[in-house]
Amino acid sequence: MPFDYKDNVFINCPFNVDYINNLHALVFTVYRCGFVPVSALSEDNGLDNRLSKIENLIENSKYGKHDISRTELNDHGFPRFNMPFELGIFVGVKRFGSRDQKSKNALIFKRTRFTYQNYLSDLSGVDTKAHNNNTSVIIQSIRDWLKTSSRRSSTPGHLSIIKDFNSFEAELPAALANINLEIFTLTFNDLCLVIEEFLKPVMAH
Amino acid sequence: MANVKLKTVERKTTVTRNEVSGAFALARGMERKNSPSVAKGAPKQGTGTKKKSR
Repeated sequence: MPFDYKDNVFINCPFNVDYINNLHALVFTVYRCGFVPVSALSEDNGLDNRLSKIENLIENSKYGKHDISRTELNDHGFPRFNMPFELGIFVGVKRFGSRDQKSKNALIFKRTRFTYQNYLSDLSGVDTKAHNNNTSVIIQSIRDWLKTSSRRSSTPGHLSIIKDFNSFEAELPAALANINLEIFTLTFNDLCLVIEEFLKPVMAH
Repeated sequence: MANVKLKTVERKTTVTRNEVSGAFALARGMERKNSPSVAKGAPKQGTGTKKKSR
């Protein structure tokens, strides 16, 4: 997968059924704003070390979207630390990395205000956004963040992205049925391909 | 304001780009077919005969 540092947005978020709508909204918005989403799930070579994959992706992404809203106990009573851990790598690379790495920019999502301070108090004073599991809030937050941090004047308004996203969600079930796929088992790479193909005519004019 | 350019990336997927674009085209075609304006029995626009005015 070719990398373009200034276009890549590292996606650090849960990949489970409960989060699927949020995942769709954020990947869709990243593409719609002219950027490229990257994730550890993009790489499917089982021989590669997972941490190495994550380090490479972070190194090659100027932007990072981190969602720590799901740092909760799993079915076995253990918390999921992957997302705060990857956020920590991102912050460390920005602090101690090369000049390019110091230009990194992150958006940190939490579910509701202040809850993260109970489990990640080091983030106190860092600007985070609460999305309340609302896809419109996610879309606007990501769009506003990418627009202000990249200063790209061509970034569309959030209302047009929300409109396009609603059309995508309406068409998605029938389109997937035509190729014998379903929403809840879609791989990250397939999701990216599906969004790219939906957006081709939308962004052509 | 300039249009945003879609940046596509070749990834290891379980379906091809052509299959996905065809799936959307088919879904949109079915949606149009089932919409009230073109459903069976519904009057079609632009197919009526127009009386000539004298």
